[in-house]
Amino acid sequence: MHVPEPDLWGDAIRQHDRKVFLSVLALGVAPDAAREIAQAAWTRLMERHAAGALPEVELPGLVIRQARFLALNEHQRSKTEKRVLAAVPDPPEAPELDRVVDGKREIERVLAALATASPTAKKIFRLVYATPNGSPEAAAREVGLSLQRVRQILCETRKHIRAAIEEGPR
Amino acid sequence: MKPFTREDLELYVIGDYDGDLAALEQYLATDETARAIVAEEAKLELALRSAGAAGTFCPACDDVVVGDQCETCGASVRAGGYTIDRVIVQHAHGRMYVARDADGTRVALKELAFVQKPDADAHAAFEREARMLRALEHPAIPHFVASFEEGSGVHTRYYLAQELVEGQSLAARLGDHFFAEPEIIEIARSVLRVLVYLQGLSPMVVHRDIKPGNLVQRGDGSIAVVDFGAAHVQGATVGSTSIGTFGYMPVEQMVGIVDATTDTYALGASLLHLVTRREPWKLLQQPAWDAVNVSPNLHAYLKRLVAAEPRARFASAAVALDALDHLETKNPMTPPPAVRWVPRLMIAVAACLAFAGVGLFGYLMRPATPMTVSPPNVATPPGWPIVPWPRATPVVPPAPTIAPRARLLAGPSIDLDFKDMAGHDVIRLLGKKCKLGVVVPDSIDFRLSFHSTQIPCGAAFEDILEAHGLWYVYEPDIKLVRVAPRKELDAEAEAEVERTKLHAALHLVDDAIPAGSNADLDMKHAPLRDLLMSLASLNSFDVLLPEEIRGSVTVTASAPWNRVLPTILAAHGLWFRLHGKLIRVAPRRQLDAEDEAELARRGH
Repeated sequence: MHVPEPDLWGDAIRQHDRKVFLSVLALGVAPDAAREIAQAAWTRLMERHAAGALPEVELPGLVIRQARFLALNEHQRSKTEKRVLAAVPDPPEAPELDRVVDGKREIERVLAALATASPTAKKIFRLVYATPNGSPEAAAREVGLSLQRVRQILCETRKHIRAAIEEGPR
Repeated sequence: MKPFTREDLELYVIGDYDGDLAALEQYLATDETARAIVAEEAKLELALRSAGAAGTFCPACDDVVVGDQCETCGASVRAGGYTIDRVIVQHAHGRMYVARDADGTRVALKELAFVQKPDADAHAAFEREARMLRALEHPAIPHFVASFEEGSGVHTRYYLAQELVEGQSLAARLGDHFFAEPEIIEIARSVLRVLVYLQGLSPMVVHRDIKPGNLVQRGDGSIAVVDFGAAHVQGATVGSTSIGTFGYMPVEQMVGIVDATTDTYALGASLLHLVTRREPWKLLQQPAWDAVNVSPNLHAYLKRLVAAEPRARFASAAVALDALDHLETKNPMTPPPAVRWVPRLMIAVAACLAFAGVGLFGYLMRPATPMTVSPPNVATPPGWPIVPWPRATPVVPPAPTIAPRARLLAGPSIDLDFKDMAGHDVIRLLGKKCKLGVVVPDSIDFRLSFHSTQIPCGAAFEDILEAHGLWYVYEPDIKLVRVAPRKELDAEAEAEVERTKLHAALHLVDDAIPAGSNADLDMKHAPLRDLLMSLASLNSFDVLLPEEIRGSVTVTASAPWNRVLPTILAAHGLWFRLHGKLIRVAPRRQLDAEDEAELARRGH
């Protein structure tokens, strides 16, 4: 829990914006719209903070919740417009919010699935997801594999974890 | 067919898609199914990020850790308020970590683990080491931070936290650096100052494990002496246990006898390793002192440091340091003259004379670094006509320091797993995994199945090549490996000795192609003629290629073209003469014959 100083907003955005964008994408929103929503969420948060309405800013949780709220609003508005104007069928229902990560059980499942992956896959996972500024490129440099190979391993690992999550207890 | 694969969408979500991003996002805006996939992938990505942030990973084996120690390999992830970042080194009795305290200050954390409950002696030894480290105060010795123990019984672990010395050990530096004589003297001086300090303590402290791996060069060039785990306080009980590293310790240390000459001996052995790039025990067991290519005074100095008989050595570090200063007084090191690049395939006149008649030995020891020669004072007017002689400027005979041929040292460890792969592909794969360029002529043809995990690059290259009668020439500054049959390389080395004599008699320096663009090549079985012509024309040079020059080559490289081209030529027994903007390529034998004819014409 911390309150970003005005000059720290830039750092906070750099650090968390990708996660905010992904959380909107996870709702089935197109990339351009997701980007706009993420920006709007940050702007709204900064405005409210400047107005003294937010004594404490929990990041990235608060901005993610704000972005999802905006995304769902936008979705509802669009759904109504579409029904009225084009009488097209509703788009697929947005996924349930509480299924979107951060749940302790889901993390446990991910880690349990990771435990059964190959040593190289574990190393790459750690370098990409558990290292500050981790990326496939940095991982490729560290493990001495080509970027192409690292991407391939990463996709295989994701597939392995996805399968384990889907098969695991709900 | 869909324009984007699932993998593209996954990489997009990961943030690593390097294709046409705008097109992909346009596609996502219009394709609901793709958007649904991205939504699923984004959820997974968030889950992975959360898991990555929440999980604890073993710094040694990357396994997920619950608690403070990895159940798979036993490495610690937390100890005594420190968080482990990575493992520096590990062996049967423990590990050395880089760790962070609560404030983020990094330390070197040494951990001792036991297979049985440590006895009182082990505990006393740990306490003694901590006490000794606490007492040491020298800028070249990492300062003591804390000592503590955790666990109980068989799970007891002892920890020593010390200042983390940021830098590279001299053993690691050997991988990509050739030590020149002034550097060797500076290293000797730095270490001797530390040894003088240790020997000046009362009672005297003997490090007992001075070796390149325990000498760390910091970013500012200074040397730190690390790992006092084997250190011995004079006067304490001496057992007959052999502590130290074979090859660097004097014979008497093997039976537990140490004195003021022990560490200076190890320093001498370490310096020999740096000078010759050969493990010191090989030098000390064989009469191979000729391989120690340093000035006569330093040669004699090193010999005295590692004298087998303790009484023949310098009596103490202070005496050795004084002798080193005296050595310099007698043998002042003048700054080298301006450097001019000379192709590495040429051995200096002095080297030639020194190694004449020792063929293969010369091959093993030939220089892999540019030699220092006086710059020629000859201007070449523009449009200088092509004349056969003199085609290069006279050389002032240099007195170079001969460094041995570069070898691929350990390097990073890689996993290899392939079946029945063609030799070219094997070498290309090795090059890519080890981040080295390779040049492989078509004449090399073998097939191989191989499986190994975490094999050091150097070992992988050498084992595979050696198994097929092949070897390599490595140019470390451009990270380029030329592979060739070993016999050919031996013959090349012998021919080179003769060629150097010939060039010396003719006062010639090999032509050097001017620098130009970078050659970024990744080609398999590329036609040699096309490749040479492309490289030349890209750099506005013409190339003259006799019709009989054919063949193809596998090459991956990212290096200056004027270095890559000669390597490709050498791989095919070819060389060149430079005539203005024309590169005349010919078989090397033919060019040698031309030189011999010229020598005859001059009446020699």
